[in-house]
Amino acid sequence: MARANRLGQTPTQTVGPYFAIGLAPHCISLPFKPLATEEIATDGAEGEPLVLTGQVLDGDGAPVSDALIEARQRNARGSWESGQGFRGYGRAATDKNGTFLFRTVRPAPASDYEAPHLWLIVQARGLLGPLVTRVHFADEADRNERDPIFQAAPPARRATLLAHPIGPGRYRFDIRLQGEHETVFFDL
Amino acid sequence: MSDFPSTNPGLPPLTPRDRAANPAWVDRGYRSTARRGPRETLVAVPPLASVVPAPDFSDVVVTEIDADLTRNGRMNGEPLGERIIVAGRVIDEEGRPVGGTIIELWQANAAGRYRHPVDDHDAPLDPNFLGVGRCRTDAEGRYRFVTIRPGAYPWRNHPNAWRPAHLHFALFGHHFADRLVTQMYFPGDPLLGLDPIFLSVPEHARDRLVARFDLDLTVEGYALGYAFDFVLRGPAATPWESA
Repeated sequence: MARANRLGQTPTQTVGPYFAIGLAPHCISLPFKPLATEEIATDGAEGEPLVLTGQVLDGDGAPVSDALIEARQRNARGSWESGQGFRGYGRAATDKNGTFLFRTVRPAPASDYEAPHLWLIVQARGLLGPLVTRVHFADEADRNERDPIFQAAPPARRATLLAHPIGPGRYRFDIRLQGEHETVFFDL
Repeated sequence: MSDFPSTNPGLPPLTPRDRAANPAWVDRGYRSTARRGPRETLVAVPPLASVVPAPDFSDVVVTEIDADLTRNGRMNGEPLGERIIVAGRVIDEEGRPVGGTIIELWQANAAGRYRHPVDDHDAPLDPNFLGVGRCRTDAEGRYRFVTIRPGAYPWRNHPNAWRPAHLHFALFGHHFADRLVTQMYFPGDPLLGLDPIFLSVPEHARDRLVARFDLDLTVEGYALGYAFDFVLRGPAATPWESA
């Protein structure tokens, strides 16, 4: 091992119940400009408009009303580049029903080797670190079959990574932190 | 070498998160984890999966007052409490600076109360204190906040439970997967040994979350200084290095 002298990584702690003060001040009308909102892309961005919504649920199936979801995605050309209304990153806090919502454009894959997707990081009171998952589209079955990250999930659990269409340009993706149909979280 | 192409040749894969230095998802002492922490094993992915760039905040203007919580919430005077300076560096495991990254800070006021609708602790709000700040690291990875030392406050985890004084921090390195949300504590706090959230960190890594009093950061006649560094993950060894 040539790298024995590494410094110790700083451990994670929970975001706690009051994260909106720092990470989503607009959600509690705090007069401090937010760094990011639920708009991953605005109206002016190139691509097909997309609304991604869903619920965060705990091991009892109860809604998690104090979760923070962060989303990261490629633009409509398959690039990470931001600009022209595309930020490629958004944050949404869940409401009292555990519901979150992002406004964006449909991401394009970078190559034939992957499926269109969004990365999500989930944090909440009661979570001692960031949980990383990925949203794939249920109507992209062929591409999902070729995608190495989707394929890394055990076959029986892959369905937890699928967002389902619920209307024109609207998809639903629920996040189950625990219990039956626990969402696949990646060691990333 | 890779089983799928990277479109970000400039961004190396990350070393894994050191799970042995981090809390377990379900922690016996911290009650809320029981129904929220995942029980399944995290799914392993190829190292190149970590090559997702952190959000682009290059167009975000961060001003000096954003990093001074004693000034950014003033309505009719100064916030009450003990002024402090918290400063240090963001570096990776190999000690290299992480420059140009934004650090976000939120906290309770001197009385141990958050300016948040869910906080019903019977302690006063401070009209001149928001409890939120933001700072961008310089090329050497350095950051500096001026704030008020937060108070301890009770919570409902167990009988007579009190959180030790702490600051919440959130930052990215160069990678999306390098997300770090953590809490910084103060040296010598008697509540540390009683706090399930602090104690959720394996013992050998707990001191990484405790700031160090620093006379060099202390400004005479103005504020005590505390030093605190953030250590993020580093670049993974490439196949030819480990060969």
